[in-house]
Amino acid sequence: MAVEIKAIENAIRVIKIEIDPVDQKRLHGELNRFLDWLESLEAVDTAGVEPIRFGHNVVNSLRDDQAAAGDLKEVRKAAPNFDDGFYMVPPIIE
Amino acid sequence: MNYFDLTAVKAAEAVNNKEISARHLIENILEHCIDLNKKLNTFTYIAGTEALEHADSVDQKINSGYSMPLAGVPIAIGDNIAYKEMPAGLGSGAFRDYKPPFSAAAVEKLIGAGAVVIGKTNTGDMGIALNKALSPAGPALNPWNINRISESAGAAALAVRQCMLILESDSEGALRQGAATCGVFGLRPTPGRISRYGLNICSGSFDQVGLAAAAVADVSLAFQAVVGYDERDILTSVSRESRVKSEPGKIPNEIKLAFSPESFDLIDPISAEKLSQFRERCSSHGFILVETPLKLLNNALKAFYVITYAETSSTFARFDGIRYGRAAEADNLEDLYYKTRRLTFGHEAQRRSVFGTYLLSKGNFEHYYQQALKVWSLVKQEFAETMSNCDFLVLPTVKSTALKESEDSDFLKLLDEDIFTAPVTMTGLPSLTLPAWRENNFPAGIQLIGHPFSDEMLINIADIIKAEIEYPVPGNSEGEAG
Repeated sequence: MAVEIKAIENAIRVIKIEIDPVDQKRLHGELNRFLDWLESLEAVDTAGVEPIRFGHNVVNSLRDDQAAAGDLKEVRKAAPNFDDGFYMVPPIIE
Repeated sequence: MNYFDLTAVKAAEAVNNKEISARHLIENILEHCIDLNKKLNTFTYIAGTEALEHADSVDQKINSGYSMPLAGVPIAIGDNIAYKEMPAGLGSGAFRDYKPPFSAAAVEKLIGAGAVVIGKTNTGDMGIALNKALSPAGPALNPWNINRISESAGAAALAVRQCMLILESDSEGALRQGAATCGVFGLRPTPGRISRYGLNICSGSFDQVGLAAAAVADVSLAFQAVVGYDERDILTSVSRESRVKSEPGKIPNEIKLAFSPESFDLIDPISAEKLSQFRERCSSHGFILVETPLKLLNNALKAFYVITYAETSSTFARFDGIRYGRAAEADNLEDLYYKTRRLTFGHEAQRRSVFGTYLLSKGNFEHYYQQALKVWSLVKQEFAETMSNCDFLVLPTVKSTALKESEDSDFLKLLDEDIFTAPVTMTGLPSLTLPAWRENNFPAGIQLIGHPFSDEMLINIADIIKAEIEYPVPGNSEGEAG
């Protein structure tokens, strides 16, 4: 069953991205085609199969928890706004 | 000396032996690179004086008695991999001015081995494969047919010797596919062998730093330089060495190659005929051939895209104008999020964010995402069974040679092109694409897939096969831009 455009509107609201109505309509059509494409995946018999989370067996290798000297001058270059040792960012509490 | 016939191995030898200077080599390559970039659009940034100064420092070390494995070798890096001397545009207009304050671990290691970075290669929207997601710089073109888009800009650059080695990311298979359609060698290593520190990640489970070169000996040299533990990436393997201790014999009749009958059905008829001829040649050279079923390739591809869309929608949430990326002009916080993401994401990144969020929403999480994780488990089992019966698995890399322009706009058709590469990504097995035959005079490659942590063996066996079987010459004058 085809999903309605509300599914696209809901996702846009969750991720907070501005997408104009023409592109929303395009995404709606593409989502329905994508879900049709997934039909055979839904039909795979996975009874009793455990979902996995990683495709490989590398175990986390942790470094020592020690402070290291950083170069503030280098960091500053990458920040749009940097003042008195702090990144200046737009206010997040209104 | 013709610099454009040199492999990385030969170039480093020549620089170490002072037959040529690193500066002279880099000057010539840069000139060639700038010239061809007007036609192929493979680079978004080409170095100037910074590369020449670096070449001078290599020459100074050589003159002081040092020898370096990659002395003066010109390398290019994907634009989603950090190098502190150059911009990292991530294929997004929002990052066009971004210069990272650090370099990726793999880049540091290559530079430490004497390589010189000559530029950043074109990457798709937010680092997604170039043939699926146009970058603001536009498409990079396949030098064998400039009417076709290259899946990997770096592979196209290698084919016409704009550089001798590349570092690019590989997730659904862009690096391997680009190598296949441009006639070069491309390695996606076992996860954990090369640090991902400095790579802009889209899909944490699948993104990997890979290598490519025009000669397999160059892949080997570069791999030796970059492999190993990095404390800044907790998923790098502590061991620098291959975990597979038993080396295969150097004689083909000691090596078992597996072919899957399903792969013949999934490629176009011309490619199927060529693959069949390739299998016969392997047999006549003495390799032991075995047949192995891979029934899940189609659904593995679908599971891959459910998982990768879901992961990408989550990782892209960090581009909010506060923590990462350029903030848009906005009147309030809500507006800032909406406008910043519009500024940052192109169509493909938008699609992945929206579809991924839908797939993770209530009800769909169980129906699609959990199902995809279970199918992933089955895919791993199927490949493990296959690998238990052979030394190496042979699969095509692409369904046919480089995509035609008319096919480039259909997103589902583009996903379908990944049917041999994305499932291999899910398994965590190392995969090396090597040139295998020509179709209508275009190069086509196959994937050799090895056991986990057998990357060195994989490179060795590719070298043996290379010696046994005729190959097209990448960058040959028959390539339109070659």
